[in-house]
Amino acid sequence: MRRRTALRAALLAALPLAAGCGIQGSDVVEAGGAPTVVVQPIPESRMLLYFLGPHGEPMPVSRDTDTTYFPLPERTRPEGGPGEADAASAGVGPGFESGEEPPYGSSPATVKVLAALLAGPGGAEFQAGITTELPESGGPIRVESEPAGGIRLRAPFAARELSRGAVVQLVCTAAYAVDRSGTAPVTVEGPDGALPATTCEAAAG
Amino acid sequence: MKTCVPGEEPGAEHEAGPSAHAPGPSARTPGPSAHAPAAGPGYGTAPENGAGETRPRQEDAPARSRRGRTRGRGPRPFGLRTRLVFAFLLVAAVGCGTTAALTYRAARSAILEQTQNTAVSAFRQQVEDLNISLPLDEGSLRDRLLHIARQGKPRPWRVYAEYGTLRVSSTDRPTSSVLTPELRARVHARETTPHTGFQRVVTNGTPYLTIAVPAVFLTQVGGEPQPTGLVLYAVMELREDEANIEALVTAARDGALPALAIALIPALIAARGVLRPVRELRHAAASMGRGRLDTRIHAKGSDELADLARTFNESAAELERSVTELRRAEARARRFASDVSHELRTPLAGMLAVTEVLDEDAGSLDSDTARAVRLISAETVKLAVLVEDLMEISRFDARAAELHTDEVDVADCVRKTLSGRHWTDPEQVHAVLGEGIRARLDPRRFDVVVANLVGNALRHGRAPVTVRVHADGGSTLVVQVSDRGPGIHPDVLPHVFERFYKADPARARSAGSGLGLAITEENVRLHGGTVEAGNHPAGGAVFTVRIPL
Repeated sequence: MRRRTALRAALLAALPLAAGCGIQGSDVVEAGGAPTVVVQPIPESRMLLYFLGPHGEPMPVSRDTDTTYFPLPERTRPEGGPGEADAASAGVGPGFESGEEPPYGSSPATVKVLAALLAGPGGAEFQAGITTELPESGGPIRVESEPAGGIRLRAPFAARELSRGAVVQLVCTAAYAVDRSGTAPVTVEGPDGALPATTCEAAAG
Repeated sequence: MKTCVPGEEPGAEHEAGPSAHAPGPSARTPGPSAHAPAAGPGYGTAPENGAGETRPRQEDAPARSRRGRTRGRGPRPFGLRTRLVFAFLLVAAVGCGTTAALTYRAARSAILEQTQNTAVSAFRQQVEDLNISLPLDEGSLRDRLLHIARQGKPRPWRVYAEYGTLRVSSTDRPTSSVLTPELRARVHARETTPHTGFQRVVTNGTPYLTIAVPAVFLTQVGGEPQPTGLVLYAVMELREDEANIEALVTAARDGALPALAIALIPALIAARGVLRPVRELRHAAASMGRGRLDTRIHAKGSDELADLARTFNESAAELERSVTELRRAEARARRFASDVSHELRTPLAGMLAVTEVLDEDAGSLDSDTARAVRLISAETVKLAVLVEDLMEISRFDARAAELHTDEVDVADCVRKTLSGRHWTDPEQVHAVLGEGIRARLDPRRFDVVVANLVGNALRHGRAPVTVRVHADGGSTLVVQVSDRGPGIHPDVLPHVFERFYKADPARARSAGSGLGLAITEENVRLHGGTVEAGNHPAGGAVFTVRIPL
């Protein structure tokens, strides 16, 4: 009896040695934050358009403001007279570095960026499976500055029928267009009414 | 009647001489050794310490067989040595095993951590060096992956990238089956800020390290990093680490086995240290049991076993002292009985001579005086018999009685005994003697045996007494003496051979000395035989003597 107990103890002592040999698989282990890559072109000469990935996740697309193909510059011109001049000024940012901050709504660059978003993904983006959920738009989206801070997008399409992904696209694109920190609250309004104001982070989360 | 034997013994007469010359008991050489020659040339040559020799010799046979049994026993399966060795080995095994296991685990996680940390930080570094445009196109992504794939640290890796629906890798297969859905789900999780993750995966027995890195970018300096939608994976084989870890196991085993072997040495030393004193103690105890009371153990050291040895020695010394004391007292008592009978013998010899003369002249005396003289004469003879019997008994007690055997014809011997006592009347003593039985006997002692038994039967039983002699199965001489008396009462039977035992206490005086049957028994025992008393179913006592031929 006592010998059996001793034997058991010996086996128990040898168990970790026998059981734990070799390399075992593991769970997923988090190892710090994600690495930051440099995205071309430099922030000052690019605009960020948020499309959607194959699983509906927001996918930012960066376009050079100088060389980007604007499909709808003519359409925006009637609204903002100095459209071409603004396009040039957008190259140095929407007034952040200049010190004098123009009111959001008056930023013609934002309007142009939204127009580019509405135009949908281009060739390379199609290749990567990037899509948009925004509806075909009959007209441009107007941008207004809110008194309480943030901006209001007046879309020519029904806002309440927009999918969640489409809202993320609008909110994030607009937010990063007016402010590179992307923290401005955005209200999307359509002919059928307005959605509550939200930030890009909240909408994407 | 018993007078015939001791009285007729020539040695007894010789012996009276020297003893008579002795000035007194105080001047006499003490000890029965002085009396030894008294038994005559044939008897009592054994010295007193011979008694001490005889006892061990008798007990030697069983003792030897016992010792042989214990010595013959080999190493016991669960003896002290086995248990000690087992315990030592167990402790060593547990110690080695635990140490090896813990060391192994620590070393293994150190090796793996080292590899993982190096790989993760190297991969992150490679990704951080990326300079991309969004969206990514397959061609440029592939170029970058091929570049990263060449920078594998600490071991080569394969690199995979996922961007939208694009699947690009540094190998010819765009995706890897090693990457688990959990790892993918973790890096694609939108709820939390993106993190680098890694996972060890064992596929088909090969361990892999898989690292997943979601690439983020900054929208402004110091801003929140935003996901680019690009996720890079690195897959690294851990074969080399596995080999290193296996080397650890081998090292642990190679270290543990010699440790176990080395543990055997102290185990055996410890077992020896315990077993040797125990063995000594056992031998000493056995030796004591064989009567060697002077046995002592060499006790050294200060451990419990040495204490035990010392206690044993003290006990042995005490025992030896007590036993010596007892033996001395016993010897003194025996010597006293022997001395007394010796001292009585000389005056008795003189008295016997005088009473013989008086007996012859009794006829000329007046009747009262004649009766008194005859009475004195008879009692003196009895006294002489008693003294002779006492001396004989004390020789037995002193173990000074010796057997002087001779090849004799038993029937002749018995006939000689009967005729020597004038028991020739068949009405009185009827002898049925098997002829031609030859045995190695001490004729004098055999004579005493037969005479005592027949005399006893005549005295206490009734005639005719029958003496039968035959050989039982050719190996035992049987002498049977029966009478036609009332037999022996069953209560008395067990005591008939005791000294001075009186069957009827009221009958204080009897014709015999009260030592006759005791002397008979001692003589038979000296021949290595037995004597027993019983009752014949048809009536009468039967005494049977059996002596091996």
